[in-house]
Amino acid sequence: MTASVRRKFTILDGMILVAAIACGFALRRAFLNSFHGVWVIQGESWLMRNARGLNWAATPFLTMLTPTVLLLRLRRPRPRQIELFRQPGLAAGCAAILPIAMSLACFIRESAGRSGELQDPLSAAGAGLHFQYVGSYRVGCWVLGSWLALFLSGRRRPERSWIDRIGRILGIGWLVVLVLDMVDPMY
Amino acid sequence: MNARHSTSRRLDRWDGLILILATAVAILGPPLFPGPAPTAIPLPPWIEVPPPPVIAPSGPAAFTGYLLEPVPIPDDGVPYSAYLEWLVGISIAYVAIWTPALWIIRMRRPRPRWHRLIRQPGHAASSVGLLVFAIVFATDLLRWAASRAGHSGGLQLLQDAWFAVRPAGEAGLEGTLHAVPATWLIMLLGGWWRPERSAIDRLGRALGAGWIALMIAGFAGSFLD
Repeated sequence: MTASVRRKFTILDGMILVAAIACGFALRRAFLNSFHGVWVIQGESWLMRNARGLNWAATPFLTMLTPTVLLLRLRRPRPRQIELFRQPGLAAGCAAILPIAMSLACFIRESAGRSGELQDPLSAAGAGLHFQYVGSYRVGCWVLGSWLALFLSGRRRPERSWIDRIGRILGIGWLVVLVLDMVDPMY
Repeated sequence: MNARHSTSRRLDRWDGLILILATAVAILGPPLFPGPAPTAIPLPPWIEVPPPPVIAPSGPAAFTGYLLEPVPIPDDGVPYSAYLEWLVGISIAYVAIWTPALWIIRMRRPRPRWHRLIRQPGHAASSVGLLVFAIVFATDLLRWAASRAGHSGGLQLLQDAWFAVRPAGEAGLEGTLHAVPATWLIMLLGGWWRPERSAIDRLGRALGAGWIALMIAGFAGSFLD
């Protein structure tokens, strides 16, 4: 029986994660600048306002960390493919990549507008809102679909390693963002 | 060694009846749930709201109305995104209703065991799609119920609940639109894609391809303005 290959946490992994978090901060600042702060609907509850703030804060970090953790998982040493894609952390990362790419492409396209020239893409509030709600909703549904597929097939095999745990946390983060999008009246 | 008997079956007249009934529900069902009037969220003045598309769903007959209207031809007055929106709007009702219909057809006996069934892409797509629809639909209705807490009940509550069904259903459909390709992606990457050589699974795969086509059409709309 082949033993499962577990990769240890290295300094390079730490550096890559720190860089991804820094990019998440930059994206969050750009979004908040384009929105001129978190929007508040008059008369809404304290809970809804803070839930929206959490949603708008979390999405940029999840966007940057998801492909980063996916790339870290694919670095050697790694398990065989058949074991690898049973891990829910990797499944969530693989499922999230395509809708993230689609949402970023929509964001850039909407920021560029009809002229086709890339104007300041990080200050277009309308494109940012589309990414914040429509994009994160898509990603949440992709992650939910991938995890349900693993669960229904009985192929879910979480690995007791730091990297799969981070992947699972990111997947749970996208599901939380999905729920927050759905309960937000601004969606 | 015992021979493994195939448990796949052919389509029969009852399956045909189920599909016909599903098609009838797809045509007649959507107008029964009109949905609430849209409420505007006040936006800051620097946000430019794009003009609504020329072809837009309006009123309770949005889906069946498209069947009776001529096909819009994209020209200077009709943007391609509006044409795609029309196409998605006319198709999604049928794809959505055929999904549970095919799931029921697949679950009729004789059928393979579950661990073999879930490896068939048609059945996996419909199972996950239905589950995601149910989760998102229920969450949206709970959100509506929470927003109604403390308001008056009676006939007004029932009317508001009836109007809440359509937006919840649309949210569920959007969830399914993205859950089906995710399922197939995981099946392909995980190496457990096992299509069955039967009409039922072929129909299921065609339905999954329909969901993916609708997703691509919706995404392409934002690039064709």
